[in-house]
Amino acid sequence: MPGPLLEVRDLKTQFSTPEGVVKAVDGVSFELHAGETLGIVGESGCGKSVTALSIMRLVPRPGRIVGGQVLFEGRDLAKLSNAQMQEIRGESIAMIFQDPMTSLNPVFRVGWQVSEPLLLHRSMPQAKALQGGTIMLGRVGIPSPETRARDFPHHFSGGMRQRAMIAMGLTTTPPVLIADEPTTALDVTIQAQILDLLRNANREFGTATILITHNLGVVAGMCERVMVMYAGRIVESGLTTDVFAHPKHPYTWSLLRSIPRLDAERHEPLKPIEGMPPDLIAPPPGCAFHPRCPFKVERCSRDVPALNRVGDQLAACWVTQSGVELKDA
Amino acid sequence: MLAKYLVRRVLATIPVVIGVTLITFMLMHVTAGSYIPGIDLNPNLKAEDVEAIKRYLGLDRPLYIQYITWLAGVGHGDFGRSMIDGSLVSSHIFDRLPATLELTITAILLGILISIPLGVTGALRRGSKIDHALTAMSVGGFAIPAFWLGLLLILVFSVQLQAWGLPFLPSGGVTTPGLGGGDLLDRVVHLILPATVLSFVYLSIWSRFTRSSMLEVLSQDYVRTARAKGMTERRVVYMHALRNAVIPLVTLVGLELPALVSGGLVVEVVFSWPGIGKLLYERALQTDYTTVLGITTFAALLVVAGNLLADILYALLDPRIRYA
Repeated sequence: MPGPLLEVRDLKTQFSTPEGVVKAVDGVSFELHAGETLGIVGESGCGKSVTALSIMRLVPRPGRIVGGQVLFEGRDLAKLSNAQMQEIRGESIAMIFQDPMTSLNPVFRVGWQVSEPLLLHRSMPQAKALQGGTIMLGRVGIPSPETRARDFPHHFSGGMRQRAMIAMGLTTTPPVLIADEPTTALDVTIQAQILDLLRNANREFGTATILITHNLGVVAGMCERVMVMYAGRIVESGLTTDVFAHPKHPYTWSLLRSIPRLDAERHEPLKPIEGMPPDLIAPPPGCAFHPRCPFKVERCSRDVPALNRVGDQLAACWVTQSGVELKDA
Repeated sequence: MLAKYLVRRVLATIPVVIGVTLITFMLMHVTAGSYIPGIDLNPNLKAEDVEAIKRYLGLDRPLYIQYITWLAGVGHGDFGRSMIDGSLVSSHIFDRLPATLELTITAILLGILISIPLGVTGALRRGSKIDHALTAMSVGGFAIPAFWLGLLLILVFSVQLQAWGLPFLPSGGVTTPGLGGGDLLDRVVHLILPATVLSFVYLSIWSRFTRSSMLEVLSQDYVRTARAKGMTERRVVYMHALRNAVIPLVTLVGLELPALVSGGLVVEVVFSWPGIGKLLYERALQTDYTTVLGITTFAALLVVAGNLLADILYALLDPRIRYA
């Protein structure tokens, strides 16, 4: 098996705020292999988006990568010059964002925006780039792309804008596509179409995809592997089938249990995760999840668990690492 | 579609024009009444002579008739006649317009060309020393009255430099008198001080505005999208962000268009610039209220035209503006 396409090692990204240092990403390591789809799940503020932005080196101020490596084709992206990084963005790693309504520039025509990566990275003449962009618009399912390419973003619906965003990411057929909550802002029916599109792109262009979402159903349908993040760390990682069938971290376990089931008894109360997400300026000592964890033992509030093999996957949990099964009390 | 939008906008200006002219006309006649400048200085005029003059000038007729007659004239480009010498106000305006346009267009262009880069710099380096310096300069531009700045510059660059025997800048006029009109260099040299003073005001406002507009745009999602495409920061800022940030500035500049005529009044007076502003000032001192009325109306029509122009530019720059 060839080496990973993208390898993140001990990535740490922090935001210096007047209230203190927010450790948004605190030692994240993972690999992405060519052509695969990797899901990153977690609740709002767990660091999944910041991880993606760190890979792209687009962390907004006052955020800053303070440690770790992002290895791509043997180079550490965290150490590249700005000019070198501009070569990577859009050419080797493309990123699409959560809100298609605001992610397109309102004053430029859609076709031009979609073709801009070609203009930037392939030094194509404008007309040829525009042609390439238009073809890509057609491939992502925009009807009569020649006409629609001349439209402005406000002429497009939300779903069409997200298609245009995906087309923009794919024009250069980059080896890596990062999709940050690409369906969160869309209707459920449109969500399914956009996910289909991403799946096709992955198959057709061999683009390895990092799919960031808080929707476990999306992960189940899309991703071969999944990483679960909590408080800036990866708490569980493995093949999606393994993680979903028998979660080895209490957070994953609680997340999966909190999903309402169609076959459940009527009026059965939902099972939320008690408590609040941790304060990332002063996270709880030990395992960040321990204040909300139904399985916690004495050690959890003292030592930070490492991500170690538990069964078929990796989990950062003292309880499961000691061989305890996670079961309803 | 644009043509339809245009027609609607032009039609919409009609009530504005009527309202503006009505108010200006009434104000002038309420304050000056049917006074004929200088008439009370001549003891030989009998009451019936005064009546005859008033009848001749149409001042005996009801005010609304006077207004309608005058407005009909304006509609034909006739802004009335001077109360003191009977000369055509429109011919005065067109005599003085070139000098005024020379000054104000220069000042507005300077203002735009300098304020946008300054505003962008301030936004990109928010909180830096440069940003603070620019802020201080803007506050200065707001706070310092134009006439004072003008006098100060004259004192330094005309009077003091001349006193020291150094090359100095002219303190007034469009060209050096007696040199037969003056060549381009002479005109430019005369423009420097008044254009600086006038553009300083614009600069202060517009650079602040560009800065805040730019700050807002830079935090937009589409700017992040642009960065994610892998372009230079220069292209991100000057192409993707600036194009959005200047849209609101267009309105602001459009509102300054009437200043093409009147905004430079104080500056024209300080620098003896033979423009419309100075004409207005001179005639106001002579209670030539019909001329003042004519010039004011002309300026008001320019406000309306400026707004219209800004609306059209706005629609051209921002595709989201519906022509409806």
